[in-house]
Amino acid sequence: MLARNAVTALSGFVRAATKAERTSLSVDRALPSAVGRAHYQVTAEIAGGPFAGRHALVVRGEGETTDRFALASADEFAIRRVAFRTGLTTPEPLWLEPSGNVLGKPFMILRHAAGTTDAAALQSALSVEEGDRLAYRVGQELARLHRIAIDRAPAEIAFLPKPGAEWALQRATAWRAALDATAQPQPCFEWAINWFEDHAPKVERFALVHRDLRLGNFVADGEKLVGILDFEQVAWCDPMEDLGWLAARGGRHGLPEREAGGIGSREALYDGYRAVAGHEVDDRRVRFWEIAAALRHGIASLQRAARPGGDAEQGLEAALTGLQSLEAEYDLLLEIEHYGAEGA
Amino acid sequence: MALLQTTADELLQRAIETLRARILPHAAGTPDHEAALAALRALAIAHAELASDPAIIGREVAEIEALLGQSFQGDAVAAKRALAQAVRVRSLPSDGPGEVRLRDHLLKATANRLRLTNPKYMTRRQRRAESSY
Repeated sequence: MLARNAVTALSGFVRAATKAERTSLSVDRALPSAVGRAHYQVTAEIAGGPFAGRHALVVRGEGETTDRFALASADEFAIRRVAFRTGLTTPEPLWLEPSGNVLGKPFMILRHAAGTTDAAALQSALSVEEGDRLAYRVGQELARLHRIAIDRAPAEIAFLPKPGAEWALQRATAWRAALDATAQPQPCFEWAINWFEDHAPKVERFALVHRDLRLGNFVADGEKLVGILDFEQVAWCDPMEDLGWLAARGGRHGLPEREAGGIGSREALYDGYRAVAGHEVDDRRVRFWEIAAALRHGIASLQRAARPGGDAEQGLEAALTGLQSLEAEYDLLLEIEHYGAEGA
Repeated sequence: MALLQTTADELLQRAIETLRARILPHAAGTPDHEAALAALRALAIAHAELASDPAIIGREVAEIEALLGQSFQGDAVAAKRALAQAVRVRSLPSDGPGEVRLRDHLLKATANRLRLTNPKYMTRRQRRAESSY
């Protein structure tokens, strides 16, 4: 939990940000997060100023990552503001502390979204029908996010790199560099990277893509979608990448038959997407991105194993995560063969 | 013949049984539960690796030697590194029987390891492949 002096500093920051006379802040609980990231649910009592009252908030610090695609807090905050303004169901981003002078690292404060992000709890709570309704809602939200197109990008997210015609080669190059940084040679992933490069579709319309929306990165209260979370992987991409990432086998946890991210059916996800986007989902392209998701997930597992960090428990967790790359390899080998057979 | 009266295999098996019977039930619902499960899983993987067929590595090296037309004199890491490099620079056939042989090798090599780390994963996938994608 946060030390007392950190809570005092945080309370002072909220007082200044809200132009309040007084603030009292208490930490309710630590929220699930990656190693090294401050992530807390807090309650703020604010006296005076435009935010006077009691507020359930979330403090989200910048994480420790070697992922070259991960955004810094300030950039993620700007994207969250654009997404919220567009009408996406996501906790309102309130204030940003970009300097690191208050908690030692930059952080943002968001409104708290009540519900659960726990994959197992959510999966066990949802009937098949409820799961389908939640998958439908997730599809709708993705289509809403994808309305933000690269050619009409709001000025405050102009920092996002614009992909060119060589976008697939750039990803392949980054993955190869990631493999070079791991200890063991990886012929299967090398083979899959070649496949990715050879089969990448031409992207006619780049849109704002979440790139990490799956169980654990949205809040739900039963079948009700309460908020999309975690925007640090957002980039201009093929919109179908989000559907592929969500539907990829590696993200379905214990319910692989629920093809929409272990939540509901693929059909429900596609229906929800179509209802907002106004056009059909390109299933073949989603399948391509499912394979790319296995590749990305597998390489990320190897990267995690390569930096065990922390204590013995974290070292063990890193080692076991590294071994999950074998599941991604197996998925790649079977699904690439199936993809080829379907396209023949 | 093992140096110790009780073999590494037996010791690991007993550690797994003890952890499962005596530690896990008490850890349920506590912050230690995930850690205990992870430790149990690690021991089970180590146990499976000890019990695995030692000839597997030799067979894999032989397959790579056949694919690359080069001898590695039993050095599995050098063989795997050379294969990874050959795939990266696309010096192996990208279609036809050569490509099938490469894919078969990759599938076997992955399955050999997955059988140790998560054997249920392959079973579940195979069962599912009979009905759908």
